[in-house]
Amino acid sequence: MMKIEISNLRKEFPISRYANDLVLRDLSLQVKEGEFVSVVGPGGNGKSVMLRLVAGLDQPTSGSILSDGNPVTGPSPKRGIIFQDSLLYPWMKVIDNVMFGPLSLKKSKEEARDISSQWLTMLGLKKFENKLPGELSGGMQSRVSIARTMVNNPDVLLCDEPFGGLDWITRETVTEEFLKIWFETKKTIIYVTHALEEAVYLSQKVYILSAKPATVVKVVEINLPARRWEEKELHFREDYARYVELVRNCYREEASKGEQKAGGE
Amino acid sequence: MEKKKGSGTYFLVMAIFLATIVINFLIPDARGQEVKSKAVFTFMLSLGFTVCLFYYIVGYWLKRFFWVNVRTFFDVMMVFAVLFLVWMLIIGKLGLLDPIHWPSPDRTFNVLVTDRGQFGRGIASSMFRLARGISLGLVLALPLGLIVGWYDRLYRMVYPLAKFIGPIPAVVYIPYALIVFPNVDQVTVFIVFISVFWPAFINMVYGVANVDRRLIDASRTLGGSDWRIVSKVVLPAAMPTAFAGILLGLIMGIVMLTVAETIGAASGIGYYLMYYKDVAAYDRIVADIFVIAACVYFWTYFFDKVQDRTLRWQRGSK
Repeated sequence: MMKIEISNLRKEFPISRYANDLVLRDLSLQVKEGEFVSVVGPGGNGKSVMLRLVAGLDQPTSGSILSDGNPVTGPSPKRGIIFQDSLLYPWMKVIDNVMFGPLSLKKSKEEARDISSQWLTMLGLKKFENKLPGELSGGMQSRVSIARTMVNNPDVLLCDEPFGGLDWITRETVTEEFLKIWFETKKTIIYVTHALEEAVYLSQKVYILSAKPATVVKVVEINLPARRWEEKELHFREDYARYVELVRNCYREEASKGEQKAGGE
Repeated sequence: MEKKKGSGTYFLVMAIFLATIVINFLIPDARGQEVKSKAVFTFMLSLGFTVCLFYYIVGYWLKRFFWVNVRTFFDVMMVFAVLFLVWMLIIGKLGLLDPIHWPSPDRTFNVLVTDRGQFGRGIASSMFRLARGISLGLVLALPLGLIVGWYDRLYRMVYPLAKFIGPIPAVVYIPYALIVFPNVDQVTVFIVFISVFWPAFINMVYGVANVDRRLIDASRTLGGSDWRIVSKVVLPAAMPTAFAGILLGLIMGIVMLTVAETIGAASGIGYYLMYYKDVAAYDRIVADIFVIAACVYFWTYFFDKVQDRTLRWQRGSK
């Protein structure tokens, strides 16, 4: 059984009485338990909408989303989500941000504090637990955001361009840490991004979506070693380069189609 | 070097305070502006001078440890110093304006001492009314605003109505309030309540309705219940907008308090104003204006402190 199974997903938003904005059309994809899947596609094509549907924050027009074989009807802490810009609570200390989830799930205060501290320690943030998010750098905020979602121990992790706002060097470091966390916890991850190389570096499978209305145009399986952060020469490997090239060509084609369509309207 | 830079202004302010004291005793008062004692005005000027001297001496440390902006302090004191000097010269000494309508600073500030009993009782009754009106307004406006802003259907229904009714100036309710309520005290409280309620309510609604959707979505996926999301996420996120409305309400409340008191009350700082207008005691009216200004300053200062504490988290971000 697939962990997440999306079939024939369609999503329209009403824009007037007579017209609908079609965002997703016939989108199908499957994610196995413990798999790291990336979804890439031209900007504004509905990747984030798809992720919101999987999270249960919005309902599809037609089609189905199954999680462990059960239809998704609403948000659940089993499917954690990490947004772009961290979206922390700026009025809470770092530790209270992380404790929000466990306390929502009716854990005792002591237990919530313990597991939150563990995650902060693991991400090197123990020292900063009494700071406010506004006092931290962007990279640290991203880590707090990871901790806040992971502390709930979700089965599936949905990431919407989670490190999009970071500078490149910080982004590489955080991405690497994120990959390690995936390797250790074996979570199922759907990672939406438009950074192609990042998608290849992280995932076992890359889904390339078309321009809006989005559907899957190509699936690329990435057969690289799992412990990629240990491969010092990874970026120079021939197969790595070929994967990036493959994804890039396909993506470029879709992006130009999307531009033509937008220009023709 | 840094300390030296602003020293010119510092000395100038202190010099003006001193000069005003000296001139006040050297030049005789104009006709109709004579006073028995110059103690009160002299005391105020000396106080200004002393505070300036104090800030000048310890300003360097204040700046380092308490983030006090010494230069701004002196700039503000400059305004007072010049105001007092010009006021005293033009009205008190040269007598350029009619002494009945334009009292000198000596006459004005003497009233603060001679009428201290009346002022004390007036401030007490006015502030008590204000406090009742404001707390009633906030106790109703904030929870109601939270509920209306949170439920979409309620928001669509109430918000346009509130924007329609809210801007009606509270003055127009006074004639009805005088009929409906048994005594003037309650009329004043009611008028203050109306003035505070609408801006606080409208801003609270707006703040709640415009909380970043994604922040609420994130909370939902973390397992937050509606109650938990409203109390821990939506309420704090709406506070900056709400505070803007509360400040507006506070100022409107004070304005309407004085207006309502001049119309109907039998005590209070607004009543005092009206009473002495009728007997043409303009020195008392000017003194009362200073008292009202001090009361307003107290309330806004108090408000600023509460806001700073509540919104401390905003300092780091943005």
